[in-house]
Amino acid sequence: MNRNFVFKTSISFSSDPREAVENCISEAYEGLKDVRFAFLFTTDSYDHRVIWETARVLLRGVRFVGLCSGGVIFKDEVYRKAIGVCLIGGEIEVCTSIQGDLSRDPKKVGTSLGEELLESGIREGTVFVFPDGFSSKVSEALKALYEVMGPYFDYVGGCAGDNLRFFKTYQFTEKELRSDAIAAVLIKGIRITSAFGHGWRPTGHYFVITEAKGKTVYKLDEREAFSAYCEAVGPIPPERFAEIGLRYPFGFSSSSGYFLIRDPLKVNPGGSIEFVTEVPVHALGYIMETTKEEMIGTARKVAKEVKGRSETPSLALIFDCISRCILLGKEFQRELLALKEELGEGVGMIGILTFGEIGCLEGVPFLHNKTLLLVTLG
Amino acid sequence: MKINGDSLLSELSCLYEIASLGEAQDLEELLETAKEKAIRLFGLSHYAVFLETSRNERRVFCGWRIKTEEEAQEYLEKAGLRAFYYPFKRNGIGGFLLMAKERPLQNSEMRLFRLFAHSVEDAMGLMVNLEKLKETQKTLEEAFWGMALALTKLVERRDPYTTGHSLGVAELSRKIGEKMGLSEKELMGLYISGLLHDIGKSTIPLEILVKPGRLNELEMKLIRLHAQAGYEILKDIAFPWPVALVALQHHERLDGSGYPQGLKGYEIIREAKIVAVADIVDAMTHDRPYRPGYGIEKAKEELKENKGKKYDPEVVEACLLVLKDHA
Repeated sequence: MNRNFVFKTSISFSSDPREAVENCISEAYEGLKDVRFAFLFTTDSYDHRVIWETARVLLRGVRFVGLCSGGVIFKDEVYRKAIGVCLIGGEIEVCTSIQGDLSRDPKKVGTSLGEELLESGIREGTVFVFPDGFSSKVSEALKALYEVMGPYFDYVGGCAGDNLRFFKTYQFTEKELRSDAIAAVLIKGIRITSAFGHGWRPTGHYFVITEAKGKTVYKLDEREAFSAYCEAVGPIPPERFAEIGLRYPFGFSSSSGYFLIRDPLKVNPGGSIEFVTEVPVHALGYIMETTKEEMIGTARKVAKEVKGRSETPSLALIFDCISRCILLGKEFQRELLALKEELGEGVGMIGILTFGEIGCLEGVPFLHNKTLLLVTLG
Repeated sequence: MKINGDSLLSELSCLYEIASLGEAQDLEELLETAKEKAIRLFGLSHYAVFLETSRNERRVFCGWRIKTEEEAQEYLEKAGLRAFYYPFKRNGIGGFLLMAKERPLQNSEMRLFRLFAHSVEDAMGLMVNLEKLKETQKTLEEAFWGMALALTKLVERRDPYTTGHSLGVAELSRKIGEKMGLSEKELMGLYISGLLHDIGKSTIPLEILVKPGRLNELEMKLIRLHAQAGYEILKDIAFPWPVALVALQHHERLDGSGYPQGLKGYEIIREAKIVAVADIVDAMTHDRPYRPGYGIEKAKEELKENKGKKYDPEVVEACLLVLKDHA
């Protein structure tokens, strides 16, 4: 197998952040030469200042990008407290950027991110984008990023989160550790293939989004959003909304038939519903449903699609929505096993549970919910 | 023929969203909404509207950083994207939609896409007309306020002592109305009623208007005619507010001691009760040919003393709050 890059993955479960970073980086470094870049995937329960400072020392001269979330995927398991690393070396060109104040000025964040990445002189490749998943402005930043970088690049990634505490997330590169930011890396020189899917289908019940602003929906079919939603899916005590909303997201269809999923998150006083990300107004939002089998079947389809398009993948990066992990429960491993079976035993697998996934629909980056994004290298 | 449920749903969704383009409140909102829908519904990578009206030119871009059509062409060629043009010319606007995506549209998508472009054209035609109407309305409103001020000045030029009185009454009436929680439309009505409440004074002989010292009974009778005269001047103008009635009733008092009709309490309209209080406060705080101004404290005393007798208590309370703020 001829590859112009080498890689090694490692994971550490040490509860001490310094030790965890040292363990996994030193293990990944073993036998690997000419390391050019590293992905760092962490869970939220660590002191990220320590993680970042340790990584900067150990990865001196190496560019890296990282984010935290509620779980790290390694091989066919997900871990609630771990740090995973993927070191990549070889004939690749890499540029990183991190821009903050995402909630205040998403357009500026997207623009600055794109401009800094283009300053590298790289004019094609794949952009891995890791925004703070708690910001409601990710889509706006993605639009701005696309306006600067255009159709010459592929865009993939996932949003940082925590273990559903909704407190704080971290994004970082070798330059900075931040929250409310987007960290990104542009990689050229590796054949990168991606595919995504969610496996949700319309129940047949739909609403007209008659009043919405950003990620808050005030009215469905001209009625208070929460009451209307309850009529469709059954009575919901407000304190159990997140749990039930998780099972009945909204889907917005495009002319190609693809349903973009939007996840309802909580009920606000007054009966409006807050979603994970922005919701289009004057659009038909279908109530969606799925089964565990359909979700796992989708994972298999996604892996098949990637495998069909990439000749010999050697590494798979997985960005899997945290809500899929919650819904699948103990069977989440079956989703990872399905990926492994389709990709083949020899393919390294590392990833993170995300709070929004970034993948291109017809070349344009969109923020997705409840989606599995699979990115293969090689 | 086998009908695919999912494709029917997606067509239904697209058709609904296309139809809802007309929900936009103005041209800017329409252009923004159409941009969002074009990209989400049709998977367009690039979208632009080149819009030329008789008055101005607008360009909306999404997906690229360019300024001209030529730059757009060059960009699309370089990126190898499929471009779709939809030229339009309607209701004095011309221009075109320029949209691009990575792959050719399928037949069903093309059908929806044409419908989308056609609906954007329709909605833009409507919005441009609506904008023209709004501009005309704005011009007419400005002319209206200019006329009202000109009329006020005409009346006040005859009596230099009352210069600024009508404007003062208009402003104070509006502030009282604000304190009473009136709507913006009602506040506008109060303002114009305040401006024109003394227009009937244009019919009073100049020598009486500017006479220093006390007026005799006959002269007072003549002065009092200005309320009825004001009503006669204003009654045929189709204001959306009771401006003529305010001119007629602004000297009426709750206890029936006012003029010209000696109306009581509920017989007097709310707007006239407000203008009456604003009128008395402005008059008492400014000099007159026959006396110097009494000052704000005296005006407050007058209001407090006659609250519920001559003046409406709610209006008096609101006015006292305004005066307190002002102090």
